[in-house]
Amino acid sequence: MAMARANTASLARPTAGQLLPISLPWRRNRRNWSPQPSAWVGLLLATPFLLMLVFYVIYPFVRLVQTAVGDPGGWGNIGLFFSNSANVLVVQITFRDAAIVTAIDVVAGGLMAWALKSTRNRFMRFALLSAIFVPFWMGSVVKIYAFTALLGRAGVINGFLLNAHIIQAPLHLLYTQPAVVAGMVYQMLPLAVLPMYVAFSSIDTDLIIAAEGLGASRARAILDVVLPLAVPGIFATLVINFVLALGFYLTPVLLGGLTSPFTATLIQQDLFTYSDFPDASIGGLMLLLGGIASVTLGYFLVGKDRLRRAISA
Amino acid sequence: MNAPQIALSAVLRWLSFAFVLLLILFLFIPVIIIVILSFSNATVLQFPPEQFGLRQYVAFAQSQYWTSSVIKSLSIAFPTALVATLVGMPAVFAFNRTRLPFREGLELAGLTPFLLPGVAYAVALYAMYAQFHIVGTTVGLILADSVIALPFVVVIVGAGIKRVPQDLELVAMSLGASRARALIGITFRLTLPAIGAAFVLAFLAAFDEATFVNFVGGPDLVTLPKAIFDSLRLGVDPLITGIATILMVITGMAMTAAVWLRRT
Repeated sequence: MAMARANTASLARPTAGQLLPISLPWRRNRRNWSPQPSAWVGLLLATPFLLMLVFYVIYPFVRLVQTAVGDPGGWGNIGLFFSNSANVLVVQITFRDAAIVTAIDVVAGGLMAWALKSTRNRFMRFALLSAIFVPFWMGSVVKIYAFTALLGRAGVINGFLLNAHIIQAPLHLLYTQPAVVAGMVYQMLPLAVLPMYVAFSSIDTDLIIAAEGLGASRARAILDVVLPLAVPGIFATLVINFVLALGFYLTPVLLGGLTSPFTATLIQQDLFTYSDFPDASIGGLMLLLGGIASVTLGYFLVGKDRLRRAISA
Repeated sequence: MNAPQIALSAVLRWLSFAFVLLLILFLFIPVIIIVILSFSNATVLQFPPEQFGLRQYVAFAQSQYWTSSVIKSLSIAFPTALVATLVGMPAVFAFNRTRLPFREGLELAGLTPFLLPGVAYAVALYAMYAQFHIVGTTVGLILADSVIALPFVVVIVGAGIKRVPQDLELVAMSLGASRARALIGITFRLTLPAIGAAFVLAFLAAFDEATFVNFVGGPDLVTLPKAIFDSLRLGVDPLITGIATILMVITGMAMTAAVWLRRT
């Protein structure tokens, strides 16, 4: 009898789960029926996923740090890595070129995204959409192949310029830093347009007309009214493009040549030519830290929802 | 607005229009070059081609090295897509339809393989694989590729399941269905197109994967992207344009199918 009374009393009182905005599963009143399966079922369903995260995301990076600061010199490996001025230069150039690529892509992609949003011309819309999606159909290595065919000594650009008698001898275009930048810009431009298009599509274009009606020029209306609304989306795109640009491997190696000053090439040579695991790991670690730093910055500046939306696009 | 401002606006508008046209051209040129070159009969790179024909396609079909690399790619991409879907799909259900704690954070964690710089990830995996002596194994490559394909599944299936109203499950349960029956019979069935799209995109991502295979694939696992990579380091073999064109057509159709699946 006493127990039954206690039960009714606890039913009448609001439970911790209803009072607190967060409700921990073990605090919940078990008698409350929920249409959703329990946390245990969820855990069971998510187990393969969690295992994969542990063994294929967390552990490899633990291993990366271990290798970087392991034999032969422990933490001294890092000092040794940066005492080599060539390594410092390579890391600097990698970050600088990733920033250049990101800047070009965000400006160009922003213009394309705006054109896609604002165009009324069906042909223009079709051209823009296919220009964004058709490059996805090409494999990543095939894109690089196309750039080799374009930029090579006997390539399309040199052939065209020689035939037109603009130049007398073939230009040295391939295996240069601009070649790598061009290749990366090409591969990431569609990835820059899509998230910005998603971000722009929520902006009301009537605002421009309203601003113009109040006396602003079109440029002023775009700069002062539309741009501030678009900034979070642009920033999320910036962050994601920068991280992706840091991670490029094939493009620096193939378009930059064997001695190009990119961390990817450095890593490739350390691993496969010199079998220098710590050096390669430190190179990887630098890129990883750069990536984590920019994602963290993005997280605090624009929030996780915008970042996720930018990725999902 | 005064006259110079109007003129300036017009100039700016035309400039940005011209710039966008140039960008469209820039995005199309490599595609066009590959397709044109694939119909050239030359054995070395030559533009414009002097003689058109199907030499690149014939040479590809006759080369055992290239055809076996395609088969290798297929035999890796298919299990990869399967693993990524089978790992990602139940997890997405858990994140959206159960009372699992930290759901949102875990779903975001599923995107990390996409957000980590590719080379750094490849080195990290290589360090792990070297430790366990599994560099160059097919299973190892499949698992590594599945991690890269996982974010596609998380994003696409996640978007799919969020479009299915939970009320439908409540209706089913009020009509006597068990939780499992409502989840499988209603939500899972309505998410199937998205799962199909995720599978297709995971397959394409795995088929196209060329960074990990260079690190954890060892010298013997030669997939198609790896074969192209190796041949590019020696020079430009026009044979590649043939297979590239075929792939472009197939990939284009598969991606269109995936987009169509996501819409239904």
